[in-house]
Amino acid sequence: MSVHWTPEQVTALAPDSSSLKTAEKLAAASKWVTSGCDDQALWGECKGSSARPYQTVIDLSEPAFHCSCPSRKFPCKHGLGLFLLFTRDPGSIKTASQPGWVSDWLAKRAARAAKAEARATEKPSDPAAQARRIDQRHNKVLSGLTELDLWLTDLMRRGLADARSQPYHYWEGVASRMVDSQAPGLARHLREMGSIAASSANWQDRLLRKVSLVYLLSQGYQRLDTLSPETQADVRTAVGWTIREEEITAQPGLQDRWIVLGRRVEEQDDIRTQRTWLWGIDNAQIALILDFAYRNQPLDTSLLPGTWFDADVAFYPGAVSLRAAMRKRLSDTVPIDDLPGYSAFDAVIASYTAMLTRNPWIEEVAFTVCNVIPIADSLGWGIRDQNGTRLPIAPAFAKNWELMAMSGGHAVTLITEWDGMYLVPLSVWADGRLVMV
Amino acid sequence: MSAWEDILNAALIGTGRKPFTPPVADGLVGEVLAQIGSADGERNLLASAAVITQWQRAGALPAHDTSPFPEPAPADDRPRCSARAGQHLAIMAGGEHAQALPEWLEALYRSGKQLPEEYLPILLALGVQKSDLREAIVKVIGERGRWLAAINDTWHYAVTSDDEADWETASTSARVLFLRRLRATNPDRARELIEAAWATERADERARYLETLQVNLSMADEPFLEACLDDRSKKVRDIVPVLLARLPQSAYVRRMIERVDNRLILKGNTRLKLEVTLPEKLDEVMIRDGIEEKPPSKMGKKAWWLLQMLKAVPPNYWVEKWGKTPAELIDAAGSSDWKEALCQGWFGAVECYPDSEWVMALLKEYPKNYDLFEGLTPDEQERCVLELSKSKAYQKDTDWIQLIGLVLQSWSIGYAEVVLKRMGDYYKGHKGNPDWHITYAFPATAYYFPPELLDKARRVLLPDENPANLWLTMANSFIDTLEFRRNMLEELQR
Repeated sequence: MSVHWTPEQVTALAPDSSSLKTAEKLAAASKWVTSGCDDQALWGECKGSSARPYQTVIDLSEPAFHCSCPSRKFPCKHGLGLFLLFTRDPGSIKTASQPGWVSDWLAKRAARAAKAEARATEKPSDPAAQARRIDQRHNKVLSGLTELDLWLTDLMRRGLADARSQPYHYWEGVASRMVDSQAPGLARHLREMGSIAASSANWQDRLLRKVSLVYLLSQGYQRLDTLSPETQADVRTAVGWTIREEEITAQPGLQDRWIVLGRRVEEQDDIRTQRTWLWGIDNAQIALILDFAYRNQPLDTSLLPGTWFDADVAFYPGAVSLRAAMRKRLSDTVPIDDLPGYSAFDAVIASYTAMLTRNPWIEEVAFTVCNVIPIADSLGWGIRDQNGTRLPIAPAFAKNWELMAMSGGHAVTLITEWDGMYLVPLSVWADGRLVMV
Repeated sequence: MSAWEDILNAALIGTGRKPFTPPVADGLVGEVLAQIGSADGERNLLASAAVITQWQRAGALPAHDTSPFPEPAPADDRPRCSARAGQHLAIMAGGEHAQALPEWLEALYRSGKQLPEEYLPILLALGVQKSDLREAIVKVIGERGRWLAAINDTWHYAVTSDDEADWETASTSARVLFLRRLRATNPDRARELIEAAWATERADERARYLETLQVNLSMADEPFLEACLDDRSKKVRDIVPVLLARLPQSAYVRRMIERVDNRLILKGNTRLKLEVTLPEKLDEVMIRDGIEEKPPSKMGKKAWWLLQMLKAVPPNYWVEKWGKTPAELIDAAGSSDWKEALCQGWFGAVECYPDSEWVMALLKEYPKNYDLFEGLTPDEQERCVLELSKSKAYQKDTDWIQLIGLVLQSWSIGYAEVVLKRMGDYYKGHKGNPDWHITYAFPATAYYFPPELLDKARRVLLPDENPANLWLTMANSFIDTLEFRRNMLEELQR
């Protein structure tokens, strides 16, 4: 077996704790009518409530799952259970040659990947039509921005204190108008304004900051031609223009040894957004892989925190290289045995500021910082480094006690998002273990 | 006031109420602010806010704190159990299979391993709701757990120390846990601590400390307990007789024996009969010994006194005195006018001095008084159940299911196999319509059933493809629990 998966990594793939619980039950050899594995894949047939057993395959290189059961969870309990069994007790599943249903699925997968690659290298079929579409969208966004400008000036005239007493629709109305104008990035900020206005902690500062950022963005978009190409790209991205991933992966990438630092999933309006942070060891480069899923659609689970691999990663255009797409994995996935990081918060802040000066719409960025200690004091929860710099943890962060337990007052290596105001920890590296919080 | 505060205030009030005056600032940011040329107050306000926001985001200095770091947790060199074991804990803490928690905690303790640190908050929070688990929790949390509990007020129960120096500062709950542990290893020292605290503590605390003497109770505690009979608090005085009655050599028990010895006379040879004569009133020493004068409703005064006195006499005192078995004595009591008081007194005495012969004899005569089981060892409990299940009072299946469930500790293989066989027979006899008493009560026994018999249990409970729904649900629930227990125990043994 070339890739060594551990039960802990498999556990981390579970979409929720009830899946894990049922998977625990299926992680028993007796539950599987047939099973087998080879270097590429692991498979088995599990007797469920229907007459025919469910057929489960796991492509071990990523890992990727497939199952014939009707579950809408991903990976489903069968996939998780089989994988758990395999990692805990490899002897219980014998090496075998792939049955037809396994090789069929793997072949389909390979074909899909090849097609995607081909599509990426293809030139757009009709450049003129594409230009027309872009033009139409641009005009749509511009007309939306005219309305947004009016709304913003009205907001300033009535004052934030008055706006705070407005119903939910006050914010939601303009947000959905921005969705109609194909500016979903702006819509997200406007919705966040609504929730800041409804919150209590420091709402005034946070709200005005958000308002001013949206204004800056709107102004930037209306003067797009005067900006550098990189900043144009940043403004477009912040407004919500998307670029097809194939266009990105068609560009040359950056090859490095990438560590998967951690990931966070956020949910807004039926859309789940997964941020996975990678760190390129040789280039000291951060990369953000975004993945979106609607309702119960699966999120990509192939990037496992605490592992690393050689890969070619391509960055989206912008003044700061941050968002990226995976072009090609060049090696197996291996658990990390060491985690490089910044030595103190000064360096983190300097790095973040450098990004901010090039792209003012940057939000959270993940950093690894060594030798820090979680603190609970009169200021609330925070993290201190050895120089005495103390950064606050976001009030909404719910796992402070887990963090405290992991550290026990000793220095640890922390992987955390930082948005210039608050830390949102992702995981802790202590005693040779990476634990997600 | 800073430029940002000016802008923020203006934004809060609104330009409609107060026109916006652009702020002035020193340095580079002032230069940038001065370049905002819009005549429109609202736009000017928005642009100024944007400038200052970016300036602050890029330039804000973090807080600095150079005070010494808090003392870190001492090292713990126990190996960690797996994260999967932590998952089992999380599942149980979430409410599923929660009844297996005591067993899991005990198995973790015996494994000598520590829980992965990230699961400590779940464990400590569990003890907040479930105080009966605290003692077991405190045994496994280790240095890291104690360190954590010390900085979270709601987890203070777990701040334990086996260092007596911490006694003075510990909370009452922590002291109680400490005393219980100390009683196990050095009972005299624990009692001395209680005695030393006696004069200054309030009645509630004194009562809680006194209860810890249950652990390793011995004659060495007698002088102190005897003195406590004169305590000023009724709460304390109520606990003392319960403890003294468990010391057969104590002066207290001797006094009780003296009080009733001549008042019970066994007559007859083949047909035994107990004759009882009782005092007209209580004397002061009796009252000091905790005998209450006023009976509960529906009971005569004298019967009530008899009952209380008998409770404190070891039941086998009578067996030895008269050379009769418990069953014979209960029979003899049956023809007495004081039958109820005698038997209830013996019930109380058997609770103090658990004895399987007495339990069986009493339960045959007074079915379903299952509290008596509590004091027996698991072996004795199983023996009693198997014996009783043959007697005619327990022939109904619904009585039987209740009876077998009384053994609330790990079942022996032999006992489990007897139960399983009868369940298998029951299935064959009631295929289409199992009684809901059976299907309702049986799954809970999976918490005591030996996991080694999982496969056999599956075969016996689900021998064919078409059981009734009620039965299927029951069998699945039973097997589910048993399998969970097997996995959780195996994981800790790795």
